[in-house]
Amino acid sequence: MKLTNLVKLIVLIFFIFGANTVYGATIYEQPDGGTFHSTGGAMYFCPTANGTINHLRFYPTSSYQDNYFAAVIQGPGMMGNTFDGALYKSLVSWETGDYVDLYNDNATSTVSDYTMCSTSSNFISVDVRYDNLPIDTIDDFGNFGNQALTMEDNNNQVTYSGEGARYEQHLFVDGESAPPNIGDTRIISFSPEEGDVVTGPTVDFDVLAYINADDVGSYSGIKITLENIDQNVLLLGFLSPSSVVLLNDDITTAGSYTFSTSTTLGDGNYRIEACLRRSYLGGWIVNPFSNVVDNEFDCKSHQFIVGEPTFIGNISQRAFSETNEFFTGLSATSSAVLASSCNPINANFDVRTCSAYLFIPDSYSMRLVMEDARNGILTRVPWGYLTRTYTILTASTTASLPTFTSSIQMDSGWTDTPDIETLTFDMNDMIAGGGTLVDSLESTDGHTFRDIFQPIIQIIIGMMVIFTIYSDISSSHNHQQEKTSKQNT
Amino acid sequence: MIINLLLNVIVLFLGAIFSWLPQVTLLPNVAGADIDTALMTGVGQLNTFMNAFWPIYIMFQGFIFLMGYYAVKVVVRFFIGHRTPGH
Repeated sequence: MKLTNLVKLIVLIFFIFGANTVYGATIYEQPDGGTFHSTGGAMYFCPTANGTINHLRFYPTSSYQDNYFAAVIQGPGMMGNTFDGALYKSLVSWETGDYVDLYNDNATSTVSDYTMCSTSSNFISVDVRYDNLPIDTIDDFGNFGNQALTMEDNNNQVTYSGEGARYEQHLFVDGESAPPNIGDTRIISFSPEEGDVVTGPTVDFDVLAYINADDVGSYSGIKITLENIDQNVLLLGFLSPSSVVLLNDDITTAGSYTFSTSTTLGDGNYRIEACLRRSYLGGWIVNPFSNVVDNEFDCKSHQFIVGEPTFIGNISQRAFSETNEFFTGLSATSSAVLASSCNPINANFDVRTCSAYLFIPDSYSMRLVMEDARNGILTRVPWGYLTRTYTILTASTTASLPTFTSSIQMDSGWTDTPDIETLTFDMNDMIAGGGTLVDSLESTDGHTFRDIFQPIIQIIIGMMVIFTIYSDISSSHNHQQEKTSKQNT
Repeated sequence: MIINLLLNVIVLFLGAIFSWLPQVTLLPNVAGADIDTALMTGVGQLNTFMNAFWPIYIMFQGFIFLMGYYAVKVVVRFFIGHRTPGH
């Protein structure tokens, strides 16, 4: 091979693969292990492996209202360290079955040698307390009423009897030996989980990620997208936005990253995707076919159902799962690993995976192409005005409704100080109250007004839209026939 | 990879053709009125209303779908003229 051809080949490979490097991450979770014992107000815990505690989970045995929680972790090698950042949790309503997580945002609670657990004095103490007053600073912790809590391990074994909440702990460690390291930047978990069937209409979304301190500054952020699969099929995007960005946040601090939100969703099939974003220095130069310098990687998708699934949604979910079987079945899903499946002298060589990699564009690449098409073509004059109008019409942002004020003169008006009554109509209160009233109506068998009438109204509106379009097309057809017959005569 | 590359090339080609056209970021002012802000506020208030009364949201979905049909028809008419259905 000529040197110039070799250089061209290297440049071509660099063009194609250069901007798509994905870094894999491995995490080993050691679920609750070790031994427990308790004395006085704190529970003592002895894990079975070295590592850094970065996640504590609590859940109640009974519902609580307006409680505030805090935790202090103390033990060998981490005396006085606390769970910073997410230490304070304000819980308006904490129902049985819900849980609250405390995360060690600064990754400071490191224990280097658990063999010290052989003596009871060196156990790690977990002191969890709650109060009905807000906790604004760590100093408030000392003012807590030292109320006893019932703490249990993951096997629901009661380890400390008292009153209050149950306790469940998780310890995340990496696979390396000391010094402790909690691993690469990654998305650890997010929910709803794959295959979940969620009872709507309110759906909760939770994401847990970890940002390594070395990556702050080089990683631009984390993005979570919710996609309504039903509306993404048959190009029904016009019906309403099929994708909603739940989160697009920049990463500025190291440690655990948590995000929780809830939104109202109708019945159907959905897909949620969580990605880390990374800024590429000179990304455009490396890959001139894409002007996007933010590359998303470590993307993970979960498909779930709210209420009743739809026929089209089920088909779409199955197709998505089968397509991704090629990728998720591998030990790593980076482009480099997938590309190696096309190399016949590589141990990963696999014709099936290679074919899928070559001919099936992944959702991320397709989304980039669509974004490029939108930015480069659809926003140009004159059709850009149509695109802008469509963007505004399909936006989900809300604005306060106007308030009306009316002044009414109550007397004859001949006095020096007329009696004027001013009435103010706040449409926001009126409409919110009316909507709540309508949604509160229930039938005798427990179905809400919405459960009963939403499918009916959807069918009526859908039929009206289809009839309007059909009439438009068929009437024009008759019109064409009239014109043709006139020409013939 | 291959299909993605082809799509990228197509988008790049079309983008290059239309690159001389100005890009629309906001709707224009008409007779001093900020149409873009007015429309955003109006749609925001409509969203507030629709959040409270979900039947309105379904009707609005139908309206947007119908507007999409007419928009597609305009584009099709641009390319094939009087042979467009509904012309």
